[in-house]
Amino acid sequence: MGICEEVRETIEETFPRSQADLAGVAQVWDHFQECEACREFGERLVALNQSLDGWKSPIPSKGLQGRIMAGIAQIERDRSNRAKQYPFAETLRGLFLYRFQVPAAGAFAAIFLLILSVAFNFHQMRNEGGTTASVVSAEEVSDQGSVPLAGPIQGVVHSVAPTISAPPAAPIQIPDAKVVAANPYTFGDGATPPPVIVILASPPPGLLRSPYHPAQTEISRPVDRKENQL
Amino acid sequence: MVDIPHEWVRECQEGNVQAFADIVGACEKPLLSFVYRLLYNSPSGRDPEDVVQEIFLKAYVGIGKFDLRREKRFDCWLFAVARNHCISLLRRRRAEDEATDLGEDGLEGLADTASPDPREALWERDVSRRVADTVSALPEKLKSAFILRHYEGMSYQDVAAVMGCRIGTAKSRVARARETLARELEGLSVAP
Repeated sequence: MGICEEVRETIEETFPRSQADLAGVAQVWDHFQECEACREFGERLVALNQSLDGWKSPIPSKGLQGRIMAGIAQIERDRSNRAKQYPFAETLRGLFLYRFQVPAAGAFAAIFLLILSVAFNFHQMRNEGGTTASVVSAEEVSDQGSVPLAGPIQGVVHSVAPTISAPPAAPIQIPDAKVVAANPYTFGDGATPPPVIVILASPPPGLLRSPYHPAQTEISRPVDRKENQL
Repeated sequence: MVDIPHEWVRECQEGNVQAFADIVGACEKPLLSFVYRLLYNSPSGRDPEDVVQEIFLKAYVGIGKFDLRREKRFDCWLFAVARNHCISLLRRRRAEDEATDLGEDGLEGLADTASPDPREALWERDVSRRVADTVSALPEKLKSAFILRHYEGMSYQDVAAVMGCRIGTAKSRVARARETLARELEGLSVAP
């Protein structure tokens, strides 16, 4: 920024009302001796400010403060009447509006999120319907011959010698009934199940549905069915 | 620019009405000056003193929202309340589409001049009217910034705090207002 621009910016920020105001700023007055353009700029600015000062504002009337305080007294009377009618509500309102805005907002947000998460989890639990996944790996079954299942699915997993070459062993995950509803002979992701047949003992009536036949209420032994073998 | 001690504000927030009376006493003149100039020649049709009364009542009801820890100056907050109130008045009036007739030459709205000489008084009134008309014709943001800077003597930081903008924006608005006024009032001199 050039010296002229600096001086003009200084003059504007000073808001000079007279030549004396300009003379009070040493940098400005020294520059005026060398630069006529800036001196004229300063003089025009002084003239402008003097013109603007010609617009006077009124003085407040004597009764203005009295009218304001009368209005405040009326507000206080209204507040007092409301507090007598609804004391608890008024106290709470005052606290939340004027003292504890931020903590109150945080508390309400936390309560809202808590209710939302409880509702969401409750909805999830209802949709799962009590079935839990029992994951049993094929290696576990082939090593031990049979593995008891834990959880609500009672029974034993027996290994069966595959009649064709088996795909690489993958952990068995008993899917949700809805997942296999589209194709009861595959898992939800379209992969074919490993060559381990789950033989279940009779579950308590009404407790379980077959994940492979959601419409069935009893589990049938699929061992003899060729379409279930790989 | 009015320096209001934070103790007065704290006492007001605790319910001390006398503390608010002290604040009114300190702020009523500069606030009236600001409101008068902001609403001059506008279609609001309101007496500036009535508007100042409404502003103080609004400030009293909402004084609990003034954060003593974060806000430095109470007068900036009060002027921000005043400006917002005036803007909402103007918008409401514009929506109702009613204009106020200030008289044939608008002299009824002007404050009295101080000069005893009739010729000089007439000259001052003429200058005053021309300046008033020119300043009131500025866009609201430029007008508010300029009035706060020139007539209320606020620093650019305070102007920015009142208008809710950056300091650079406040400086730019004041500069643009000054350029417009210099162009419109060129050749106008105070003395006859």
